[in-house]
Amino acid sequence: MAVASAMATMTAVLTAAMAKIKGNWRVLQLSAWLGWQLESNWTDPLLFLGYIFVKPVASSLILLVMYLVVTRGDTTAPAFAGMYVGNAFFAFVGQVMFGVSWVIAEDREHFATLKYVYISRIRLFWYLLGRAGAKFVITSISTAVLLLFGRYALGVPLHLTGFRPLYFGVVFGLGIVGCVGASLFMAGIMLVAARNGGGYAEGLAGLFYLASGALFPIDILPRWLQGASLALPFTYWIEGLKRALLGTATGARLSALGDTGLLWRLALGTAAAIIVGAGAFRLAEHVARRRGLLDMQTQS
Amino acid sequence: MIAGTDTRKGGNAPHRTGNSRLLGSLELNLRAMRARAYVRVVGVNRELSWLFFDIFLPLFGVAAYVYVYRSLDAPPAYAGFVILGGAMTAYWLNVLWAMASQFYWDKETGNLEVFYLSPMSPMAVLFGMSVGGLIQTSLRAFTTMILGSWLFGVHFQVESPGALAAAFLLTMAALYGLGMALASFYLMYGREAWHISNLLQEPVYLVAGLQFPIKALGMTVALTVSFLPLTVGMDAVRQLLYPGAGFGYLPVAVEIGILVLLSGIFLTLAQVGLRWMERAAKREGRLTLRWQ
Repeated sequence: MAVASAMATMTAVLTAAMAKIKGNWRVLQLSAWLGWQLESNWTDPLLFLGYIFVKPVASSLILLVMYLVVTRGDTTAPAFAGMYVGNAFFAFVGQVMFGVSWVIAEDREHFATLKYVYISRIRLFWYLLGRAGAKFVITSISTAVLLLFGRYALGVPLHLTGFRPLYFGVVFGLGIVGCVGASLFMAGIMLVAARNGGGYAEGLAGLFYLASGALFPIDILPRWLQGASLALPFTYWIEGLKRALLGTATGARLSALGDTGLLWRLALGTAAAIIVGAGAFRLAEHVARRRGLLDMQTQS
Repeated sequence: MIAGTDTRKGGNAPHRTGNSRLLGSLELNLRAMRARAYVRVVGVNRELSWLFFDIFLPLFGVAAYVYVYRSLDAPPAYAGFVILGGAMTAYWLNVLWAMASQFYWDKETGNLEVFYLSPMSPMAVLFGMSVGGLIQTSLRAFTTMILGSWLFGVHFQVESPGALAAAFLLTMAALYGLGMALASFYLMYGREAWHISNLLQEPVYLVAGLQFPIKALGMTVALTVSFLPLTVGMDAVRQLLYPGAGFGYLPVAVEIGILVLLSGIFLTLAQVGLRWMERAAKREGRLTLRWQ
């Protein structure tokens, strides 16, 4: 009798857990679809494709001209290859972080739907993750195009022979989770900030861009900034991606780390980013609700 | 008070003359302009965190590009280009997001219809936004210049302060004129406006030569993109801060002439475009159309 009762309780708990997972998965799917529609349906697909390529290609060309104007050298050199690959993948940090934090401002003030999302049965947390998914898809397309452009138009040495798919997959996956952590942190900030706070994500992305060594070896940074750089998961992420795609390590400090050591540091940093990001988001959600900021309108 | 007389505007005569009507209209529009600029200037001062983030966060992106040049062993002048470019970026961002797409945002929040219901000219609102935006952004731009120069040991050599001031002010006049022209253009549009602004960001950084002398793109490209105030203005300012270094693609005097021309063209375009777009938007019922 006791066993039957325990079984029944366990089944009920499992059923409830499964229903919750299914519900959250559905929220993820629907909000990702909504995000995709918002990002893409303002124009026809062809123009939209052009739109998602122009921005990243322009930012890569800026780096290319900066490189050529100084070195007048060839674009197959390791310095340029590292800079190019770092910049291409860093787009995930900037785009996902800005995109998710901007969802708060857009839904709160533009569409005025944040309050309805909030009072519905769905969790804002999962809704935001879904919206991040849409950003991820768009950034993935533009990064893939950038890599192809680099390989075939600029001669960046991205060869399949040196490519390590397994290492790439693990490093890439961990880094994306880290991006989500940073995005949740910024979304939390936006919950309590005015519309102008959209620039904060770009500013923070600028800090990561500088400190992660996406464009240059971290050895040239001042020592105190090198310390900050080594505390960031994105430093290990970008370095891991460069190793997986180009087969070479960057700079003396990071070269001292083996592939496994790098992976461990990336995993730890990613875990910390998710814990801090989710914690900050929940705290900000609580503050925003207490202060009545969930439906505020701000102007400048 | 006699009917038809508005004592606030100093009119005591029963019938106002053409001149007093003109003065009254001018006063009204100047007041509207001041009011719109006031929101921008005071808004920042009331929220000190905006001031902090607006000033310090963009410095990181600027520093990243300085280190790119350092990693390539570039001459010190290149760090100066990046700092100058970082300062001018602030104006371009302000023009794109707080000028060009502002009417779109105003439409979405319901302010645009109020602007059109009031007796002022929408041009006064645009001028007010420009003045307010210019003041608001100058704080970020000048701080980037001062802190950036100090942090990276960059020295500029100003031999002709008058020409430098003229080049800068004319660049701003042409740039904000372009912003006003774009704002009138965006009046018709919905979400496209946001995306167009987003699209124009990096490509303009590239063709304006914000991080390198525009000459590096070749004379043909440089001349082709000379309709952009930022391209011409940046080149003029760069030449005046590094005299004799040979970084320019045109003489400064020619560039100042181009900027005068561009200011006139864009301000005229803004006025004509605003009237035209307003008519079209009213005809198609788009002035109050939201969430499209």
